[in-house]
Amino acid sequence: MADAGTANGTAVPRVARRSRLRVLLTDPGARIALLVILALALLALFAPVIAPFDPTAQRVADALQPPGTTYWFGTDEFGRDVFSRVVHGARPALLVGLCSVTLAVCVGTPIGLVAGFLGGWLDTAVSGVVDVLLSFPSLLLAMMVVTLAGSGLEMVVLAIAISQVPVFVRLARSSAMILRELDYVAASRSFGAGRLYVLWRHILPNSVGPIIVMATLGIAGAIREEAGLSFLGLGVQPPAPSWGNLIYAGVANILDAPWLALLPGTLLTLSVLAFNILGDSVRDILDPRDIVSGTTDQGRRT
Amino acid sequence: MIRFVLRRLLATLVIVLCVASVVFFAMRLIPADPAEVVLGDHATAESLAAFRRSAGLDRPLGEQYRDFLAGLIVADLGRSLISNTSVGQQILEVLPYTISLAFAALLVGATLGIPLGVATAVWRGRWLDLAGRVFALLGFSLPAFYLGVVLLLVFSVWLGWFPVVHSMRGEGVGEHLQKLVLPALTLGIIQAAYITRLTRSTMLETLRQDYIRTAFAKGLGSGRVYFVHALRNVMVPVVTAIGLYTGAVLGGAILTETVFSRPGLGKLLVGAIAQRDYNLIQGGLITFAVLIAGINLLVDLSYALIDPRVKHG
Repeated sequence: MADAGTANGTAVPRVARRSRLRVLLTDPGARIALLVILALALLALFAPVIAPFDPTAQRVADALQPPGTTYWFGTDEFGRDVFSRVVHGARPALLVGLCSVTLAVCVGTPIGLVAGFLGGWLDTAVSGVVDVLLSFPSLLLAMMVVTLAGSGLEMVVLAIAISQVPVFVRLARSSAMILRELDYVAASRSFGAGRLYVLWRHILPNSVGPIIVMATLGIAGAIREEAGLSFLGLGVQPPAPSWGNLIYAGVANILDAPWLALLPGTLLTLSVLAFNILGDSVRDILDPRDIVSGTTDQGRRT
Repeated sequence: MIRFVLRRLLATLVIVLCVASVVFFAMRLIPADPAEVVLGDHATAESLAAFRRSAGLDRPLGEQYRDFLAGLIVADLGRSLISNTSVGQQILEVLPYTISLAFAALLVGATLGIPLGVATAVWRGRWLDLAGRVFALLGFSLPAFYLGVVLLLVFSVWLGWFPVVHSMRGEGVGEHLQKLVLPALTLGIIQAAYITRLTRSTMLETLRQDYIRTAFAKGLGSGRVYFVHALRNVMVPVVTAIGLYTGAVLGGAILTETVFSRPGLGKLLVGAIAQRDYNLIQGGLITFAVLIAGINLLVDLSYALIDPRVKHG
C-alpha cells in the first residue's frame, strides 16, 4: 500500500504521499478491509500452527461429523477436519491472487503503454486482440489455458494471469493515449527526450494510480477465479485443500453435511469483499478518473 | 442502416472465424496425444494408429484445418472422441438450457438492477442509497457458485420449495420453470449488482444535465422527468454494459450449472475437459464464441432503437 503514493510519480512530495496513506486509513471501510486482508495473510502464513489437524489426514471413523468441540466446523466425507482444510485453503487463494495479478500487471502494462503511446498499426492490432479477449468470460479463458497446459497451482496462476492481461493492457493503453497529448510530454519531447525516456519518465509514473486500483480489484477477481476453477475440478487438485474444492465437497454432500460449504464460502466472500472495498477506497483517494476518463477532465488538469 | 448491419455482421463472422481458428490450433498444440488420452496407457500401437486414422488425426494439419473450416460452414463440429456422437447434436441438446438460464438471469438482473439504480441515484445519500450500494458491493464479491450453494441450502434443503438436483429428463414446462428459478436468481442477483452500480452512476451524471433542470423548471412531475427524460439517456450505456456482462453471465452459467447439476453448455464443457474430449471442447468453446459475438451484435443493433442519435452507415 505504500506504493499508492507514487501515483503521480516523482512530482508528488513525500508529505503528500504519507498523507494519502493516512487518508486511506481514516476511511473506515478501508481500515476494516485492510484488517481482514492482514488476518487472511496471517492465516495463510501460520496455517500449520493455527490448524488443529493435518488438512489431508483421513479418519474414516469420523467421517461427516457435524460441527462440535473436537471438529469446530465438522469433518468431510473422508473424516478430514474442515476447519484445518479451510485454514490451509487460504494459501492457494492468496498465492494465486497475488502472483497472477503481479504477472498480469507486469505483462499487460508495458504492452498497453507502448501500444497507446505509439499508436498506429501496433495499437490497432493490440486493441483488436484485447477486445476479442475481453468479450470472453475470464473463467472460460482460464479454463482453456488449464485444458491446454494442465492443472496444478503454477498453471492456475498462469491461466488467471492470462485471463487478466487484457484488462491491464486496455487500462495502460488508455492512460498512455491521454498522457501523450499533455503539454509536459510535448515539452519533454521538444527538449529532445527519446520515446523510451518519455515512456519511462512521464507516461509510466502517471499511469500507476489506475493500475494500482485495478490490481487491487484484480486480486479480488483472481481469488474468486481460483476458487471457481478449483470448484470445477480444474484448479487445485484434491486432496490439497482450496476454498473452491471445499465448496464443491459441500455441494456433493449437501444433503448429508450441509455445513461443509459455509465456512470456506464465507471466507472466500470475505476475502473478495475486502479486496473490492480496498480497491474502491484507493480509487476514491487517487481518483484515477482524472487520467482514465479523458476529455472532460483534461481542461481541469492543464 | 442496412450497410451498418451488414458491416457488423461481417465483423462478427470474422471474429468467430478467428476464435475458431485459434481454438483449432490450440487443441492441436497440446503436448498430450488425444489417442493415448482416450485409449489409456495399455493401448497397443495398432489401436492407437486405428484411432488416429478414424478420428482423422493422422492427416496433415492443413488438410485437417480445411475440413474443419468446411465443417464450420455447415455447422458440423465433428464427432466426440469419447462417445463418437455428433458434437453439434450434443451441443444443440443442452443449448436451450443455457440460453434460457442466461436470459432469465438477465431478466432478473435488469428488473432488479435498473429500478434500484434509478432509486439510489434519485435518493442519493439516503438509507435506500446506502442499502443499494451495500447490495451492489456484496453482489460484486459473492462468487456465483457460493451464492448458488446458499440458495440451494435455504430453499431446497431447509425449506424444500425446490428440488436439490436440477437435472432434466423430459419434464413439462412447469418443472422446467421451477428448476429455472434458483439458477436464474443466482446469476441474476450478481448481474443486478453490476446493473445497479452502473445505472446509479449514469443516472447521477444525467441528472446534472441542463435539460433535466429545464424539464423541472417547466413544471414537469418528477416521475416524468426521471423515467421519460433521464432514463432514456441512461439506457444506452446500461444496455451496452448488459451486453458486455453477458459474457460474464455465460461464464457464471458454467459454475451455476455445476452447482445445480443442471444440463447446459457449461456443464458439457467441464465434462469434456475432464474427459479430454478435444473435439467436444473445441465445439463447446466455438459455441460460446458464437453466442458472445451474437449478443454483442444484438447490443450494437439495439442502440438504434434506443438512441436515434446513433448514426448508422
